[in-house]
Amino acid sequence: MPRLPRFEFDGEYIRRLVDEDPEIETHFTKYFGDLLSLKLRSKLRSPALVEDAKQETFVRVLTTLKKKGGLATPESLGAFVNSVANNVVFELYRSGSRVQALAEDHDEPDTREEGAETGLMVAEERHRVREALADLPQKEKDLLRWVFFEGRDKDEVCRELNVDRNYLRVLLHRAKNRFRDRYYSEEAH
Amino acid sequence: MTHTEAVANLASERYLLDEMTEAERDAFEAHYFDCVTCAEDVRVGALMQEGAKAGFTPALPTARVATFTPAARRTAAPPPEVVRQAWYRSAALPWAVAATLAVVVGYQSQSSVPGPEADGGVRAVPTLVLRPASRGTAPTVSLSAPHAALALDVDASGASDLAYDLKEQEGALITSGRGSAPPAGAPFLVVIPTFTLKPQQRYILSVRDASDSQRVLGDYHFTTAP
Repeated sequence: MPRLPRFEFDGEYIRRLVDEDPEIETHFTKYFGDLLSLKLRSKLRSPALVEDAKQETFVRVLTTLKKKGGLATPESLGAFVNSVANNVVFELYRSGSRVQALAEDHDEPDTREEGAETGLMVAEERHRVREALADLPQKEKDLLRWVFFEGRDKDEVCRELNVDRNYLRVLLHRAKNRFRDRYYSEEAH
Repeated sequence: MTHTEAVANLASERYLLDEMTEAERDAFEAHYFDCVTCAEDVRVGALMQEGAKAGFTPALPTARVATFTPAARRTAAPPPEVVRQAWYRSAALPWAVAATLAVVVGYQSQSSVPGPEADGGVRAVPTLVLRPASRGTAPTVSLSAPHAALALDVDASGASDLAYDLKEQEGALITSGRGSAPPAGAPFLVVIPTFTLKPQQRYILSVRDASDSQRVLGDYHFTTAP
């Protein structure tokens, strides 16, 4: 996930998107693709469904923009994409044939092992992510491992660290900032 | 949700930790789709999370700690103790800095050992890195703390248990014992009650494969401070 070039979501951006400018199309699909993956993965359990929903959202957004020739308020493009995605998810929920409730005793596949992908991290980025994480202080690595890899109960983690839940978020915030610095530093090299 | 609210409430972290209600989640998603700063924050956080889920944040190798009492006082062989070195109370220290820092280990005091350390519990123990005799001069152990931890740089490949002898340079045996071999890359830690050591003495800690007494893995020399 390289740092994306910054674009203003303004009339010019919308115009270039409608005109199928390759640079803007690439930015649009990458930027909102990542955000949609994050949003949809908590709502749809299957990666295939997440991908379907993303593509459906893109199609609807672009179709609407081309049909209308833009947005009345171009700076609300993000809100528009989000609302379209909500509609897509809602329709998927209503489609019993596509989204079936999982049985209570359903054993979710363990996705923690190396190689499990959830959408953001592609092969060439894994090395940089690994390097950036390796540079974190051991205490932060331990925290991330406990919470995200081992899936330990967060209250239990808090008890072990003798902190409250709010301070756990602060620790995560610090780890994230450090990770960001190292990750983009790796990118620069 | 405004940007100020999102920052103040650590919304990005709560989102990653899956601590939001459905309504909060919807509100935050509506915000970060509209806010490039929060969007970037969430993306970076998710990438870090995925890296952690992929196992990119391994635990440190577990060190083996052997504790002992002097030969003259020992009533039974002390069992080796495995210490899981949690970050907030211990550190399996990088070799380069280990000698300058204190490692805190869970130390099970022997009831036969007198002194203030006999109440057990967690203690800060000055740690000294020792390398085989041929690879450096003898470092100095301070006797100011109740215990000294010696982190031995030992290649224990092929050995499941290690045996050690602590002797004065003149040959008098102070103690001997054994402990589980550490995994590759981890030190073999020996915690010594400093009252067993004399000031300004030179000592040799010999380590060998417990199953093959002829296989000496290293002689570690150290001196004691005045």
